Amino acid sequence: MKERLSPRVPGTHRSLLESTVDVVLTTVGADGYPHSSMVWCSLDGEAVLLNTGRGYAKERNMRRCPRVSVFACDAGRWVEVQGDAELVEEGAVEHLNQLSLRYTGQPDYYRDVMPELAGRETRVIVRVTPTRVRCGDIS
Amino acid sequence: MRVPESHADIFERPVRAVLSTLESGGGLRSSPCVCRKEGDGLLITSVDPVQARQIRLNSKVSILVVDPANVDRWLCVQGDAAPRRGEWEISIRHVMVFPPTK
Repeated sequence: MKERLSPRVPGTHRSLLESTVDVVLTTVGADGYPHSSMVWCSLDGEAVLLNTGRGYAKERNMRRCPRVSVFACDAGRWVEVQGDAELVEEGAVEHLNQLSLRYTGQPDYYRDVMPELAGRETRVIVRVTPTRVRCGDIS
Repeated sequence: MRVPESHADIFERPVRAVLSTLESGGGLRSSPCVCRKEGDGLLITSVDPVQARQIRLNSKVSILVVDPANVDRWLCVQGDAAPRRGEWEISIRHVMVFPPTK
């Protein structure tokens, strides 16, 4: 498994984080164990943007410890972005709807995808500033 | 603790997964791996050398496994990894599944 290190997501692997591939967000739990879950993502320049709700385990974990790993792969490539997460409420629902449109084709997440959650969540954007990017090919 | 019946079929054959380990400085590292189920635990059959060193310092890991036939069905296994005959055995501490079971 050949691996390359980079300070930013290389052009060869950038499309992985701009596609409809779900990515793995890993945070550190209060018990010290890594905690991984599948999320949607987008890119804003060099930053990786994710979206979650206040009170979920990953959000609580990032509030306590902002170090995260974001991993994406397809049949032939993988990329991992290590970095620090900043949680931002402003614009979070708009960002969620942008992700919803790209991942599901539905432009309104709470109307079209998860109506049972409408009015029951406070969303946050997770902005991950990369500190190290690793990538490789899957043989 | 074991893999719930609701998601056990994902492990009918070795499956690609994402292994996350802890760096000594508090960061995380995630890499592709292959895992399979054996008894109540999991075996990781390929680990990148840096992660192998990290596990020897801190055995706490997570493994994210997606159903190859349905990307909306996955599970996260948290546990402690230990070397066993060239592979890494995971003693399962906690399992989260998606979609959640009733």
